[in-house]
Amino acid sequence: MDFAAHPAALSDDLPPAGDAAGGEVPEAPSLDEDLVQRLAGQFAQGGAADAGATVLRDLLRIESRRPRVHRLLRVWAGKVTSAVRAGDLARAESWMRALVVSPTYPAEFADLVAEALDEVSSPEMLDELVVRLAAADPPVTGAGLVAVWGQRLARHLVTGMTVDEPPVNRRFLVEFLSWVGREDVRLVAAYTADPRWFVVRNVAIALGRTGRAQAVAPLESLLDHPDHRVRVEALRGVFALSRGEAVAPLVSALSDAEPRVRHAALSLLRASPSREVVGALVELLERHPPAALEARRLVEIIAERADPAAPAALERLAGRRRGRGAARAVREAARLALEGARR
Amino acid sequence: MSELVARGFLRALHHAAESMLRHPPTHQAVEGAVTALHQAAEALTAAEKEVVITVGDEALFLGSRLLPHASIEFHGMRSDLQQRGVDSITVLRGASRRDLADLASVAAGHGTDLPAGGTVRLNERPLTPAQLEARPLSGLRRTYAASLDALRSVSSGRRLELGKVSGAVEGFLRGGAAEGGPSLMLATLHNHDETTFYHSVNVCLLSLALGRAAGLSDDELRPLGMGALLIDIGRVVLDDPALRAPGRLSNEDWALVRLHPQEGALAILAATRPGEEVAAQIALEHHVRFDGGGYPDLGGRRPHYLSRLVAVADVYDAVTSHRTHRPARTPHEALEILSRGKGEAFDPDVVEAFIRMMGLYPPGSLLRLESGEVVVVTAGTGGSPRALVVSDASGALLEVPEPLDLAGCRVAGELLSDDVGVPPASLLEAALAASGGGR
Repeated sequence: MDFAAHPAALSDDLPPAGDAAGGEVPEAPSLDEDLVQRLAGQFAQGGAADAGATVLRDLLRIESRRPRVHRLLRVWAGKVTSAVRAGDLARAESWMRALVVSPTYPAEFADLVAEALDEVSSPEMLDELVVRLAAADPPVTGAGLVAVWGQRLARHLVTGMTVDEPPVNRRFLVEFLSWVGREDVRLVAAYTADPRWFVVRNVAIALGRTGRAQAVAPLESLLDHPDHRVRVEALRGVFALSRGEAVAPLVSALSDAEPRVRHAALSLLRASPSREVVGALVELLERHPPAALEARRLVEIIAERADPAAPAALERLAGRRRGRGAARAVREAARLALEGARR
Repeated sequence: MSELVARGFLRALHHAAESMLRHPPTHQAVEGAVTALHQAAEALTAAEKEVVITVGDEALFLGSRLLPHASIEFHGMRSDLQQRGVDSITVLRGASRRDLADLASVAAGHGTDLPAGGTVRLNERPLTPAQLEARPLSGLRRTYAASLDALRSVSSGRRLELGKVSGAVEGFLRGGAAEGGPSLMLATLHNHDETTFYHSVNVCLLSLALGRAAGLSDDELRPLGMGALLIDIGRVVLDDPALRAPGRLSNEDWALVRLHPQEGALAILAATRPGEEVAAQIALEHHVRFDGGGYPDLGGRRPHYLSRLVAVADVYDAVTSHRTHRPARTPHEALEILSRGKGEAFDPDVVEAFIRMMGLYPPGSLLRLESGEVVVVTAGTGGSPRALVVSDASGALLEVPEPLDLAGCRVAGELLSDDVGVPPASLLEAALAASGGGR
């Protein structure tokens, strides 16, 4: 075969080995641009950034020897801790996700995985983590890592709320706890039964910041907590998670024995965008009017709203003939509001 | 005298020294190794009354003539001898078994000198640097030796130091290994005793050149080179004697072999710094086929792009090297095997790139021309292929290989280095000199 005639087709039509000899030596063909472009395209899709996580998951899937799995998890723990210590939260998150999200390890090695998770979740390591998280810029950089770290970190954050000198300001601990809840609300909700009111208050704040609908139920369970500071935060949390649409708990809180709870409810009702606010307040004012001062404030809330139902509601309240005390205060406030509107 | 004979002697000396390090002097293995050394000395001095091997700063010399191949192969022993103050070894014809055993003892670090007036003498004929062949050992060859040392250190120390590995890759890149040509000649180096190490370095060289041909930058080539250099580090970690035994592997041994990708990946993963982990992925996936088959079973997932590059280089070098259970095949046959595996075993684009990079007669190919001369191809990509003539039409080996432009030459057949007695890689420096390069 005369290879000189076919150098460009070398790869497509490689002559059989036995025929390789017997021709002139051809110039070697170079790579054409199309081929280089195709190869470059493949490399761009290669994704070397997560190679470590890919290898870890593959090895956990295929490795059946317990000592090797143990060693692999020790390596993993080293990767996580070094990434945290270097302040590389994204890398730490990648390693953490590789192990715990859609896990690939067989159930028989779950104890080794738990051991590894315990290793990276020592109090010292988690203190270092929260310090790094607090220093992250932007702060939300570490949200993914916190979310995936889960139960062990949640426990550490809650513990941090109870010590005299936590590694970072407690507001960070609450914020980080809310990030845990974004991944799994249950991990945070578990602490609503804590006997310490200040812990439960922080937990309520964290639940309210999770942005998860699943957090509403545990928050609602705190609306009748013995401590009013917890009730206030639970109210705010429910309000935040419902985007202000949860009117019933706010109206209900207007009857709370603690003025600060009632005050919080008033403020939230004022901020609520719900079209149910006017109707709910009218019903409350007609059936169970609160004290005179608060009744006037509720009427003011109705008057402030751009809701087309508000003027009619004020007319209705202003037109009530009987009543003394709070009822009278409602009537007068409604009339005053109507006069103000006419002016 | 050819370098092959000198290498045979040095190899026997190396074995004897290693044997003395592992066994007591009266052990059967030591006796056997010294016997082999005695036979090698007889071959060494068959045509000369005495032969001087010079231990230089960076290389070994036969008299004043550079032994480029042996300088890599016995890099560690040369360094040890030099540290023990050995500048030259003179072997007289009829060297006694006892003197040769003493020489091995010095090489092993058990002794420091030999008796004066014996049949093997140390430092009797030291040459000054000015008297030694001026041809510098190629930087690529020095890096090749450093790469072997990096791998050997894993074997001896049971610890993978990635700094040495990345240093070796960096050395290759600085030496122009990714540009192909001479580095592809160097990638034909093989050693029966350290098959895994030489194979790994060759795969590294081939992968770097292929990666560059495929358009990768230096930053992309670094992890590729590291992964390629470490693909078989799992074999070193396993270090089962059964895997080194000659002949075909038993089913049990084969099962053990199939663990080497995951063993290697784990060892690399443990040692990597951030950004280097793809080297572990390459080690894990280098036996995974393009279609998801092969081993280990990764659930049918297509291997990483860099793994696909390395897989092609891996098979090429494996096919072209002699193994205990099969002979080496020619470069052309290796390309043919790769071509047949396109789309199934191998990424078709990568195979096409590799074949185009190597050319029909890759650098390092030994060809018999219709004129009767035997040549070693030195450059295959871009422009007219060039070669060095190593034997004339009568079959006589040339003392100094002569450059030849292959344009218009007709090929009568392909040869293997064992047939010719000339390892193509030993001509690297000559090829560089002929091309005007100095790497």
